[in-house]
Amino acid sequence: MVKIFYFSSLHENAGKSFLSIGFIQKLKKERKNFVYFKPIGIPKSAFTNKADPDVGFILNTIYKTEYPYDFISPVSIPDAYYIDLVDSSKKEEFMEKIKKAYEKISKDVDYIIIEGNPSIRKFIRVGLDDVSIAQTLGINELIYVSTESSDRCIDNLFFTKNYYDFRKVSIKGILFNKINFDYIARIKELTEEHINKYNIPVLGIIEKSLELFSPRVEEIKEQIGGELINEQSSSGLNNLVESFLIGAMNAQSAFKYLRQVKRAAFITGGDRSDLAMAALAQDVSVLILTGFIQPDMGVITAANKKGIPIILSPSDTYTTMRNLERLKPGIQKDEMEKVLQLIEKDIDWDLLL
Amino acid sequence: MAKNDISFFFDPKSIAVIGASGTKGKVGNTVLLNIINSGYKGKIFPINPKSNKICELLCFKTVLDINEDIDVAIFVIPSKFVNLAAKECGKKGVKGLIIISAGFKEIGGEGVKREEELIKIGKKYNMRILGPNCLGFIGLNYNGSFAAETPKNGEIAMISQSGAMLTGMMDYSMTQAFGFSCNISLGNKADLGAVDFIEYLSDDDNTKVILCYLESIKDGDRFLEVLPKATRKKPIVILKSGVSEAGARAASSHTGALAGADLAYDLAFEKCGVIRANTIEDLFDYGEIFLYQPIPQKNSFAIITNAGGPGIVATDAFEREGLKFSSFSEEILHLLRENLPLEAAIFNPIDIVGDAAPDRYEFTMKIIFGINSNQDLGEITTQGALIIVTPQAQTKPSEVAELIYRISSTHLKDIPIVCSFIGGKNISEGRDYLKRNHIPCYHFPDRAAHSLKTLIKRRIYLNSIPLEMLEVPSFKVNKARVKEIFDNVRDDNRTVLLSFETSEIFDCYGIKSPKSRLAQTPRKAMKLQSQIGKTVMKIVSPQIIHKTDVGGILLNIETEQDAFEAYIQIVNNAKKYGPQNAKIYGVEIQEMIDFKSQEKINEIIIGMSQDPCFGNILMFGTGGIYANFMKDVSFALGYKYTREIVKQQIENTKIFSLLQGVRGEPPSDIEAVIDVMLRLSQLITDFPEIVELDINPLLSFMKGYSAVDIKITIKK
Repeated sequence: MVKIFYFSSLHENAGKSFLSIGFIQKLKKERKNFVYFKPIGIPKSAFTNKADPDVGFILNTIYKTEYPYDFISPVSIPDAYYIDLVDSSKKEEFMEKIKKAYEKISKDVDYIIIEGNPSIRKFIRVGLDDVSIAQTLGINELIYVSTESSDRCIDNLFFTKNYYDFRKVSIKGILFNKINFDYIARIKELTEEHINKYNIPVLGIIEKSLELFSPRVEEIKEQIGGELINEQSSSGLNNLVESFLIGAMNAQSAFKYLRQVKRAAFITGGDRSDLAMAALAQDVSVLILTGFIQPDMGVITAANKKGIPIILSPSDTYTTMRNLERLKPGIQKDEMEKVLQLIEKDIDWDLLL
Repeated sequence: MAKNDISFFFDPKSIAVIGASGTKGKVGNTVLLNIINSGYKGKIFPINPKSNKICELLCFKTVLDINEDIDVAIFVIPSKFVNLAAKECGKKGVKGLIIISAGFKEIGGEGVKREEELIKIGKKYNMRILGPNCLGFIGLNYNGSFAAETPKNGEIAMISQSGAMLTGMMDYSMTQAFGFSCNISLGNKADLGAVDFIEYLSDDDNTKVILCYLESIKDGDRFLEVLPKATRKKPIVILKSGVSEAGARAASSHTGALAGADLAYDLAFEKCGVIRANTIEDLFDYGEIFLYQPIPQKNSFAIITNAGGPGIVATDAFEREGLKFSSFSEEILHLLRENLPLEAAIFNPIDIVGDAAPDRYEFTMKIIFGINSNQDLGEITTQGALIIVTPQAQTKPSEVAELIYRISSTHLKDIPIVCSFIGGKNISEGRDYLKRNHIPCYHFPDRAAHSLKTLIKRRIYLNSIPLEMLEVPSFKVNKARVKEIFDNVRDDNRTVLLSFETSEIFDCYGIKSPKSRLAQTPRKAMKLQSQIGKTVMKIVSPQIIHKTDVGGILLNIETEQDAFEAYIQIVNNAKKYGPQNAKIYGVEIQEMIDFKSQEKINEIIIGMSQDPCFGNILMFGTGGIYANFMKDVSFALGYKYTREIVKQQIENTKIFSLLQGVRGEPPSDIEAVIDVMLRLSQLITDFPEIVELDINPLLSFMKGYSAVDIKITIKK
């Protein structure tokens, strides 16, 4: 009998694309006959490229298939003003497209990976939410992906369970994803006392990987519209950034904070050579100099010696930081092995395969 | 040829000059002329494919065209041709290469590769290499350099990492009495470094003192092996400039932060008996005093002065340098009183007052050293003297200088005498006379005291037990388990150990620390608290170094409910005040030391850091949260770390007095602290992957101790 992994979540950014990438790799490794399906893709732009970037990334990297894009992700709905874009006639048309594509690709396979909508609320007004789609496709069980590293995860689980019960579908299992290391032991405690008695299988607890969910310097540069000024250290654009530190104090005081960070993006004014030099002596991935002020030659030389890129930001420090808050780093091509490692290590595959 | 034989550089039978030139002003011409003009007795072969004869010598296209053996080849050709010519030398069987040519490691990129290739060629053909990028080599037998002049022959060996510094020093020496047994410019040290030459020169009969100017030391282990033996044979003075790059990097531990950048060199030099010069002036002052003056039997000096002010300055300088004044016997004091003017000060320092003529200096010197006296002078305790002269109308500085030399050379051969002739025009003749006659004479008394101090340092060193005879204690430990813990840490992609891990490591090495377990949930904390009893709870996160700063420590947790609440509070604090994305492993539940049961507690800091050149450095001092501000610490090199060294290290701190007990307090268990230091030394020696280790505080009690907070960092 075909096994279906339909990933759904109460909140956005639960890491469903990450799970899909991991599951695809695992099933490939196990030589299983499977397909990947994302009923509704969400393109970046409503009018130009209608492809969902996550689906595009998956198809271009780890999932080569004979089916065209429209079979893997038959419907594309942009995020902006979508209620107006999907009127009642479109709803039927979209659901029909999803159904047809699903029927086509799900033939003769043993496993189906379905990447649900960003959240179970998404598109509910237009009848294209996860539960409606699942029911249309004849699927009664969804995997619930939880990312809270707090006791709220239990409230959210039972809220979702009640909602699914109401909609007459059930939870196939709960998958804890992107969980802070310090909360893993607590989840195990909660599992024993609050989850097991409701017969909801815990499919896995995946630790939050700083490496995977940290941005690269290149992504930061794009986000802030910055300029690399030391081409000699351009290989550093691939550096991961695990933390951000703003240098506004004197070098001596900054030192205390600099010593504590790892792979940091250090943001300071271009005229603060003292701070830039102090930062370069520590574990920094990039220097972001704001106000588009060129630093001293000494700073550039020291950065080049360590291969650390220097990015000039056109904005002031506050605006630069606000821009960075909007940054959503994605998984990179060279991180596939790491994704597989995490998925293999932290998921109970005996329950799933 | 023995593995470390470099004698051919000092006394080559033949020299080839690759790149010799007949054109005046070219380096190839200067080098060739220097060899000829320095009176070299061996054979010289100029190599230049474009000439048949240079400076009346038959010229060859390559070394391979010469039918005789060649000991040394000096390279003065562009760097891009050096490796090809070096290979030819290898095939020819040349023993040593002096590569003056620049354009190697110092230019980076291509130059680095060229130097690496050169090293390979040297190894392949068993040739030793001096340079590249150096001034050359000047020995007693030849001047193989492009220096402007050949310095005077003498008994000082000079080794310099900077060619320019060497020429400056050689030029300076022209105005001094001393000369050189050799001048060696190390350049890039592709093969031979200072230690190689020091090893050779320590057995060289022509050399009495070795002076070095170094910017870095290549191989710390070999330095520690060779230098202690060499310094037993003759004095070695090193002027080390610059700060090591690794030392300059900001340190993340207490030990690293307190140690400073240049400490390892100080410690290594002291351990090896090397005298460190801080200025070029010091370098030559020390060289001169070691060359010409004997080492005193003990630290017991007299000052003779004809002026009160300089006498006081000299006394201050003596105190600063730790020089001790000799005490005169009753008989000597009586004679001084009888024969010196009433206004004279007869106690050390002796002020023979301003109108002192030469005979008063003579009388005083003879009395305090008991020379030619038929009277009973009691015990003569003076083992050296500083004689100060200021030019008054009666002084006659030149005559004083002559009599000092006469008395010194006739009666005081084993007694060091130094002088300070203060002034300019009126004393210059006397000062020059003394210098010519090998009695160090300084413009001012401070430098004289500074130089005398080095003699005492050397006396202490020569009286100490040689390093190779020191016994380092060895304890029975569980090394295998510690290895396992380190492997697990590396598997977890960490470098900083967590508290419960450090606690177990210390247990394996017999160092007592409080019972410690890791809780990962509040309820686990409750359970552990009930097992351990009164506890202190601490955040466990590799990224949080100073736990107090983030509210990551709570004390006096006495109930399970307290532990539950403390867990939540500590984790919340760490998330709120700690570094972004700090990985929190949980909260450590550590047994709380019962302060009330201890009559006396002292907080100590013990730590280690690793110097890239000289290895482990151990620190001891006043601990607690003010450790970094108190800076009451003492350091020692981990190499040959013995019980005596630990004792000395502890005694060098202020907290030692507290440990001994002040104001009627009982003493602390100092022996137990020594034991910790020695066990720690064994741990860091067994595991070189430990790069930093801090215990702060280690609580020292009247009986026993407890290592409360431990941090260990290992290499990736």
